[in-house]
Amino acid sequence: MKQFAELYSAMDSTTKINIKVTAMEKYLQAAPAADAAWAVYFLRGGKLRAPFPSKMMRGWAAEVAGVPAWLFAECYESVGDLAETAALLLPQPCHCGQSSSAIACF
Amino acid sequence: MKQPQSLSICIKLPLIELRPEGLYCPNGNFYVDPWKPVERAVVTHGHADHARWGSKFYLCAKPGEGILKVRLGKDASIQGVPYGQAVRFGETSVTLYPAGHILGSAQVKIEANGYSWVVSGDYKLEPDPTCAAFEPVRCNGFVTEATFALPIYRWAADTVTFGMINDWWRENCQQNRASVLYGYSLGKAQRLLAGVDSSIGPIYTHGAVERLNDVYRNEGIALPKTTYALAATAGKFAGSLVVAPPAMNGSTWLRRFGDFSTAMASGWMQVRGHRRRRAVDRGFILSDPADWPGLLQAVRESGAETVWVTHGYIDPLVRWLREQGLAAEGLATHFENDEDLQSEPLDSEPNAS
Repeated sequence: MKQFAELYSAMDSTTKINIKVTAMEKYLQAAPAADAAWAVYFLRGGKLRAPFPSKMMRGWAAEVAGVPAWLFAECYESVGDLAETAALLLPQPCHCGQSSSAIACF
Repeated sequence: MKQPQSLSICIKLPLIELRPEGLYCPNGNFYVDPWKPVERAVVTHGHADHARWGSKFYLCAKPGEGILKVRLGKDASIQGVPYGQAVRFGETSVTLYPAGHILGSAQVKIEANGYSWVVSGDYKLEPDPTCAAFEPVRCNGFVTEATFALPIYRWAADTVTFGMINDWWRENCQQNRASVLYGYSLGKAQRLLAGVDSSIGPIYTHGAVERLNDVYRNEGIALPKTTYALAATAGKFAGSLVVAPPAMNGSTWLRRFGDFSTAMASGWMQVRGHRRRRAVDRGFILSDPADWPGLLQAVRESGAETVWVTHGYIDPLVRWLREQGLAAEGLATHFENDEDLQSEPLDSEPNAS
């Protein structure tokens, strides 16, 4: 998962195709086969079936962030992506490598 | 992004009112940051949407006088007053306090008959080595901007952000690439220059940035050595940092730098979609307007019972403040809410000679 996160950051921090391809090659050579298969699936835009409705996700994120529903909706409208909106409103994740309190380090 | 509504309706409150020319103080017969030419203008800072050309007389904070001269022309009648020194306008007393936005940025306090308003212009609470720190000013009425008035906007300490910028520059050095960093040429560019680790490599600038660097240095602001990019020998840019206005992205001006990585420094970089639309490699979150906690803190510390909210996410901030029991109103002004999309005078690129 961490290797995949690093790959994603590498691909997201350049606009040049060659650098993106090099990062993918490096990852695919190093990652375990099962991880690599999942990585290809997600990079192609594959999605898992949502285990619960996004409306619930919105409610939980607003609750944990301590933001009223109307203000969460304003933020969502501005950002345009639910996962990103939640990430920006929740307490910042730690980069220590350990999972600390609950959802903040998801 | 809210568009200014019709200005045909005059909103009136003691000391200031909204007129088609801008925020007007009838008791003192002057405007604050008018967007049309007027007789007397008090200007909060030198950005193009606040310091507009054509008025007969301008008053600004002393450290911002040089900037206004560059922006409004040598013939403009500009008077600078030190922060904290009261000036008489009609029956009002006007005092400027530091706003922490850019060099010479000011909050305008207007007082008469024991009643006071503060027009804060653009401001930030974070420390910035290129300008005086924001000072909370007590008042009855407070006019605030709302550029980043959503809780998704929370700034990290600038040491964290500059650590990321320096890491990016170092990595580009190792790859023999130049690092092209975009920031608004007035204020943001100088804050970047003052904050980066200049031991990493040489620093080059666009002409519009270099011209304002001179103004900052004349005011005694310490900036690292910079070289005007067109005066440098082509092919020597690998490993260097190039600071340029955002409008240069994708332009032929970049050709001389050979292989390079691009980055943009702005509060808007908080949201991935904004960076993607800019088509830059990296986005560094560095803002000169306040974040959500900063706006709320400034309103709180002003002690004002009435708050007028201008440009940006007006509605969310008004609703939030009303829910806290304050009398808040949205105000349709001509100030812009995107510091990076603003037109800026780039014709100042001098000849290569």
